[in-house]
Amino acid sequence: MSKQSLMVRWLTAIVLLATLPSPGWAGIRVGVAGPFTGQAVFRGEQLQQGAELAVADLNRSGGVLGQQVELLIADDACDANQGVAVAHKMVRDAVVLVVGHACSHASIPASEVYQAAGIVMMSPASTNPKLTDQGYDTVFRMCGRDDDQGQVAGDYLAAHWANEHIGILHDGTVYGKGLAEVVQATLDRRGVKPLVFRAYPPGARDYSALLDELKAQGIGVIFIGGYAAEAALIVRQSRDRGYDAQFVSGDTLTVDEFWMITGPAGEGTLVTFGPDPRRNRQAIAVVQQFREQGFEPAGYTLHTYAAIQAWAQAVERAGTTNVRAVASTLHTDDFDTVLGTIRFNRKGDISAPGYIWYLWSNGHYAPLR
Amino acid sequence: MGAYCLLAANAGHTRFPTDSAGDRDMGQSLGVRGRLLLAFFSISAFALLAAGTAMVSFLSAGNALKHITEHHVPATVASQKLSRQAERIAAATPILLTVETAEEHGPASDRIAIDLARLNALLDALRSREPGSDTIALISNLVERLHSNLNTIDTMIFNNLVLIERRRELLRELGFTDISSRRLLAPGTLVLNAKLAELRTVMNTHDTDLSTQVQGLADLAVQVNTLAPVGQALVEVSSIYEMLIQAAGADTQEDLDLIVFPLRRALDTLATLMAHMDADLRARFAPNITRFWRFVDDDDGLIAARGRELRHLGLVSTLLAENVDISKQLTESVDRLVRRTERDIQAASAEARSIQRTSALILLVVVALSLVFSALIVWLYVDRILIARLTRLSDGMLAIAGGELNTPIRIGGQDEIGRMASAVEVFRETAIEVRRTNLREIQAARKRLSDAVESISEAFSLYDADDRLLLCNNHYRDNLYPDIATKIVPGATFTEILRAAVNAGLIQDAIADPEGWIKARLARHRAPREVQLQRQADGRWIQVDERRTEEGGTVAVYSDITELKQREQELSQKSIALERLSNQLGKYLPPQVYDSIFRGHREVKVASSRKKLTVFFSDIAGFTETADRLASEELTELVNQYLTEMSRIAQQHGATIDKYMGDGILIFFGDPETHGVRKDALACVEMAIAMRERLKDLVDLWRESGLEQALRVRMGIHTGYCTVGNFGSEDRLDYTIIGGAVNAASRLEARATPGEILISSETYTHVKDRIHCLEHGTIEVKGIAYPIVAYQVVDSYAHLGAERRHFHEAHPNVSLDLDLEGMTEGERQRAANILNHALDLLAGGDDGDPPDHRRQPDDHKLGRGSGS
Repeated sequence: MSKQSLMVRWLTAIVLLATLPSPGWAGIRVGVAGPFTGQAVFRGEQLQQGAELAVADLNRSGGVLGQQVELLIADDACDANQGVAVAHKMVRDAVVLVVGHACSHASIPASEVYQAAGIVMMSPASTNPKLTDQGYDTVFRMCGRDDDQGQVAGDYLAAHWANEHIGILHDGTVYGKGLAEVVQATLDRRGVKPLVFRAYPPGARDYSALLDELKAQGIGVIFIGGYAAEAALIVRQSRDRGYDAQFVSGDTLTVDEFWMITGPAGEGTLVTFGPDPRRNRQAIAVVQQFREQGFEPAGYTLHTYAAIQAWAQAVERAGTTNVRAVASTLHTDDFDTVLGTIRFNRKGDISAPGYIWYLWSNGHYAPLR
Repeated sequence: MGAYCLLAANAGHTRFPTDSAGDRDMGQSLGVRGRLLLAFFSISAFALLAAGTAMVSFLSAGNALKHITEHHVPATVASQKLSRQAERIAAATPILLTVETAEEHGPASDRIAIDLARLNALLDALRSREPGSDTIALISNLVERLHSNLNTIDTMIFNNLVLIERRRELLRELGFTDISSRRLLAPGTLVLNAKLAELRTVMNTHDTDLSTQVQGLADLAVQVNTLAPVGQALVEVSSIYEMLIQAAGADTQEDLDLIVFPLRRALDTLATLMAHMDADLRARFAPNITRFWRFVDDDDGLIAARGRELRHLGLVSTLLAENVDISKQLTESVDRLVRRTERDIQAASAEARSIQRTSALILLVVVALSLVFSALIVWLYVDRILIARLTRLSDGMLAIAGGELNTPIRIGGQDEIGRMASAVEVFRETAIEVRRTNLREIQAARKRLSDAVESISEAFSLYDADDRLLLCNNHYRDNLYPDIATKIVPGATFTEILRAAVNAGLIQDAIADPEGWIKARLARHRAPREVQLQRQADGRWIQVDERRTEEGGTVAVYSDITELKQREQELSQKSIALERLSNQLGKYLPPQVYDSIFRGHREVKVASSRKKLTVFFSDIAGFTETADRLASEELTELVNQYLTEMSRIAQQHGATIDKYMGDGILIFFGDPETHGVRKDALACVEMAIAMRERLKDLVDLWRESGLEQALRVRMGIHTGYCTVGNFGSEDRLDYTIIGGAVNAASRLEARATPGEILISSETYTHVKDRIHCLEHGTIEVKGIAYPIVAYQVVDSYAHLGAERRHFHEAHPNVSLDLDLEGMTEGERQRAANILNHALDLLAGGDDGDPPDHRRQPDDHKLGRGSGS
């Protein structure tokens, strides 16, 4: 090649590099997307806290591939459309990883955008099976799936309340309804038929009518497939009306919000959730850090932390933030995180053990003995 | 000068210009060349003057242009550039203030620096041109101020960036604080709203009893009361957030000051409300309130930061305004500069134009003068003095060339043309002289020619290319064509004269066929090749010798050759007689001798020489008896026939027939011609054989005529030295041979039996390879000491081979003759024995008795004869 054309090539390369979307920032960008306003804000807080500490710890120990990591925080308000908008913004801001979303009905449409744009998505909290059943190889999940969760709930109900009237309520969302349906199917398999299977309006303030109805029908145990605020409200209002049905719900109730709404009325509520990572040996130091900052790392806080840990390790091993390399590494390798040694299956689901029962009592949820 | 020449020319009566009075004038002696040179130089002077003027004009215009382009224009351009640069800077500066990040600041700052540097460079360039200019000093001052202004702005921007960053941070923190606050208050608010809803429901249901309702209401009221602060707190938080946002964007310090009041009030309210919340919530909420207060009160808080920003912006505005002002002043100054330069340029160009005009004017005048002068020169001098005289001169020369020699050439002047004219005049007179001389000479020549022609004894005529008579002498006229003398005049055509002659019957040859003869004659005349003979009617013979001349004419000489002709005829007659004579004589000589004499090879005188010849004798046996019995005519005929035949054969073989002796013939080979002794001998023998054969035929012939006798011939041949030549006296000679060899041949012949040919051994040695012979003993010959060994000729091998079964092989060391036909049985047997023995010997053995072939020596004598 002649000297001149070599020069041209170099110049072109330099020019091209200069025009790459690098808005004055030489580091790596990751995003955390979750509900920071609207519904499920406490879940959003968990995600934000988890992501912020993980990134700070990462940067403190030298960042990833020798570069500092910048964290972008975007609010999807637990809304599907806003979630997609957030996804587009993440694409525009050239992030290489999105930890989020939380609400399944926002995660699923957002995951399409991430897959198309080539951004790794790791949801700490979305449990609806469809998220990983879609077959996107850049989508990963740090939590369990509702087809497991629902089955656990269904089995338990069938085992303990076969003789009682069972009522199943859901809020019509992807998560809520999905979970409720799995529970019903499981009960059906066990030969138990719930007396009631109903949707409740998520934005309503007063569920007294509904509760009176259920009470009238003699429902002794109510499974709620829905988010913490409404579930808490239902529980509180039922207690306030003197309706002492047993309430059972899913992992969405692992937020402070629940007890803040129910107060003492929330005592005895049963919820399913993965094994509490706060008890893990690997998580002790991190949990300590959170508490020193004045934040209790409940719910999916540590799952968020672990997501970023796993991703950072995958990037270091792949030697690049290129989505294909990172995704393939995430699919194949084991990672040491605050959740323990984890790995992802072909679909992107985590290998962590399944759901166990927790009991809300005295303002905290703890494993059921 | 020109006029003078003119006068001189016109006044020229005399032929020789050297006599003219103008001789003493200086100008005349210049000549044409000199005068022309003068004229050209003066015209050139005008051209030079014009060129000079043009040069001056160009140079000064060039100077002016140079001045403009090198001084004024660059100055103007530089000034303009400066002005533009200043404007550009002024335009770019406000953009600086839109810089929001450090990354943007760097390049923007650099750009400003570059622009400034350029401005300085331009200023330096301008300054270097006009160091002392006031305007430029002012400009430099302004540029400096601009520089410091921009530097200050740069620093301000830097500070601005810091402030902006701080504001961003604060806003971010505010956002989080707000969210956090809302989050904490949301559950309580939710429950509150739910309770309120319940309250409404309870209030609206009337189907339960009052006490229950009241109880229910009371319970609800209590709960609502507990929860109310949370709701109110939420409102306060919202309002605080709004106000803080407003403060962050406050336009003036006053606005900022104003906002602080309600802010503080809201925060106070919030604090109060906090007191009414439950402990847990209060504990969780407290940090947020602290943070809100810090936004308001901290030196580093939102309010304070915004205040600093505003002050900062104010400063920057001032600086910007200053910057604009400076730029404007700069532009004005530069414009002044530019205008001044423009004025200079205009002045310079005006000057250049005026120079141009003057020069153009001068140029026009000079050109005009030059043209006028040229015209004058051409008209006065060239035309009248040069061209006119030249024309006259050339006319005169043409006249001379045309033959008109009498008109003198009168052209005056001392110059080259005058000299030329006098030279031509001399030439003319010389030409006249020459012509006269030529005429005389021509006449003399003509007379000489006609005298010469006349004195020719022959008739002579010369016709031209058109066949017209040019010249003839009297002979031609009077002697050749006497009667038609009138026709023979110069100019008459050949045809006319010829026809006249023919018609006058002068030509014998033409009488038979006049037209034909004329035609033939004319053809010969046109293409004369050889000499012709023509017979005149009066019996004279005329020889016509016609030739073509170079010009295409015909010259003819007619000679009277009558006498000659006669003599010729006599001569030819004599010659014929002579020939006849010699032919008759020849019969008596051998042909070779005859030829030899007539060809002149041999002189007829007594002479002889000694040569080796082959001599042949023959005669017919028993002729005499036969002769007696025949009549003379028959005898003559017989002999003559025989001799003729034999002579023919002899001549065929190249023999020299010496003599006939009745029926005998003496022949020899080897003189006067010889083919060599061997060949002569062979020819002789072959001739003998042929003669013998021929006689046989003749005998057959004669028998039919009545002659019963079978005549046979005897022949004898010998090869030896003889003396051959002319023997006799001077008056009578005989060409013959003498010698012992002759005798030998004669003896041999005598000894031969009829039909035999005997040859001597000398002859045999020459012919034995070709001729088959038999031994014949010896013969005594008178005059020869030793006896001659004789051989009898049988036949040539060629004949034998063809006719007889005869085997003959003769090679070195081996020869074999087998006469198969003549052999007896016994002889054949013996031959076979001999041959077998020979074979044995050849095979290698040489024992055994050779067959005795020497016995019977008589065999070969017995009757083995050739016999015919």
